[in-house]
Amino acid sequence: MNFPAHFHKFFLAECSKTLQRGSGVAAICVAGLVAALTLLVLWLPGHLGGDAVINGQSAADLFQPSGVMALSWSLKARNFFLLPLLLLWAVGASFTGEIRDHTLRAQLVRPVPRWSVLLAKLCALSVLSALTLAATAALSGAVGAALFGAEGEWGVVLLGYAASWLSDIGLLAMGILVALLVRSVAGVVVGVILFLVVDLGARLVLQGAEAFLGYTAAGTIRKFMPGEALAAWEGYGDAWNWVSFAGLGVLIALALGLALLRFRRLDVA
Amino acid sequence: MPSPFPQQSAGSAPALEVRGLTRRFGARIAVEGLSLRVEQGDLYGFLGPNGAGKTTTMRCALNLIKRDAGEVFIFGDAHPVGQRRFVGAMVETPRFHEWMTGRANLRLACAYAGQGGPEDIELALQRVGLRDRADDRVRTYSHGMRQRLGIARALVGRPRLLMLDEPTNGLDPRGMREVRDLLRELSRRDGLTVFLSSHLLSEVELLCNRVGILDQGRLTAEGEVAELVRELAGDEAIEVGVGDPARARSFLASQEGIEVGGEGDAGRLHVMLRGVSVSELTRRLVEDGHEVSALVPRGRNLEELYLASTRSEQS
Repeated sequence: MNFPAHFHKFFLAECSKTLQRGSGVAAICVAGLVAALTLLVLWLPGHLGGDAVINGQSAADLFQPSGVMALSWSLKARNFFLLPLLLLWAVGASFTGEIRDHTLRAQLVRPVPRWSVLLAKLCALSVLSALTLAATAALSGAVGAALFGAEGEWGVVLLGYAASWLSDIGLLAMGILVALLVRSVAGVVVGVILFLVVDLGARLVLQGAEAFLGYTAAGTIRKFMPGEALAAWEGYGDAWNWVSFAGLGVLIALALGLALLRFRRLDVA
Repeated sequence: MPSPFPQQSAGSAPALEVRGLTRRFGARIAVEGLSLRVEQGDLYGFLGPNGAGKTTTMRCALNLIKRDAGEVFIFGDAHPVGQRRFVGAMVETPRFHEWMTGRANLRLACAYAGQGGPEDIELALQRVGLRDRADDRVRTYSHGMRQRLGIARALVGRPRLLMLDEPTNGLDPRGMREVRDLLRELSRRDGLTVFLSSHLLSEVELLCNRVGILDQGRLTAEGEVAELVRELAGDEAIEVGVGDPARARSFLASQEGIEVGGEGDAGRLHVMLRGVSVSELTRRLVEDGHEVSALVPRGRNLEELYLASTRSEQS
């Protein structure tokens, strides 16, 4: 299990591929677009609804956006739906797509252990995730501060961005596992969504068991489930949920361990 | 220009040695107990009908697919990862990242190989005649150009053993000749060992010094081409001139111990006699009412060896 001395070379090669693919370009563009749309949503009420009155107060007085608010809302918008889907698309293109297109075999005939190929791809996808977060943060933070002022606690929200990156790695790890089990890029996206829907259902059942039947253990189990782990980033606004981060660690280790077992035994035609 | 490839060391291990390789796909046995040996500096032709297991053997040797049994040694190295540092391979139709240029695809190959740089890429492109189109996206390449780029990709990374699956597939006659010359040059000048599979028997005969013939997952013949052809001495190949070749072909096809192949000059039939004498053949033809105008002995070639070694598929 020697670490390949030229790992940095094929990690950079993977980064180059990941960022040049349609999925990579789309993810970065959408990350910027999410920030732009959030800024627009924050900017519009003060400029279009200037005369609107709600409960005797003008809308402009009730709603006072700030740069920090732009940064925070952009993060929530970014993590809501579209970017996770695009990241899963990138995972699918990197694994299932390369297996389907027979481009993976060109890598595997070289002197690289399969685990290092998996690691290089995970690292490259993590770089893509970090770049999408950076694009959202840079645009919403810089333009938000210019438009609405720079007051507020920036550090807390930026920690939320850092936590989102960790959550993304959890999502990527799950995506990689699914990508090595299905035969199409769309299958990766659908597979992970189905898994998360089932996970949500299970968490609701556990929540019900805790609330109505008094099973406290159900609540503890629920905190370690994948859906909770992937939402660990949400704690930045109130208080960090360290159990969720522990769950995230377990999720990443488990998903990558199973993915590695599968990848080592996979026939690559 | 000095060779960028590491030179073979004399008297050391075989370039490729496969021992007892077996691979099943469900109930179907693709390769069974296959053993072969490719010496350093060999130009080894790997022949066999479709589905004989040639590509499966290559994939197993490169660890792309699992083996059910058997061992593979490359320059004596049995480590599945370490041994690949010696190898440049092209398995089946080469595939590329279509949105990248030919040169960018070769850069990726160098990155994964861990050796080779821009000079190696330039040299490989020059050798396959793709320098002018190296900066075009691969999606604009013809089939033949992709094939050449596949060979270039196998060459970067400074291999000592080239494993090529149907390397001239899709090339025009000039391109085939160029690839043949390139492989010969790589073998003679740079000392590379070449292991190639091909359906083009004449090409393998022109290019390779050793062959292995695979039939239904088993190696039915292996060795020097000339030596193997000599071993066919029990059979005799002749050209038969008859008045009505079509009727004669149909008659001979029904005769035991006689196989009819293609046609030679002036419509003469290529006939392989297995335990049947020429006089016996003549007697049978005459008795069936054929007018025999010529009986010409033919020199043995790889085609006959191939047909003799893959009879099981035809039967």
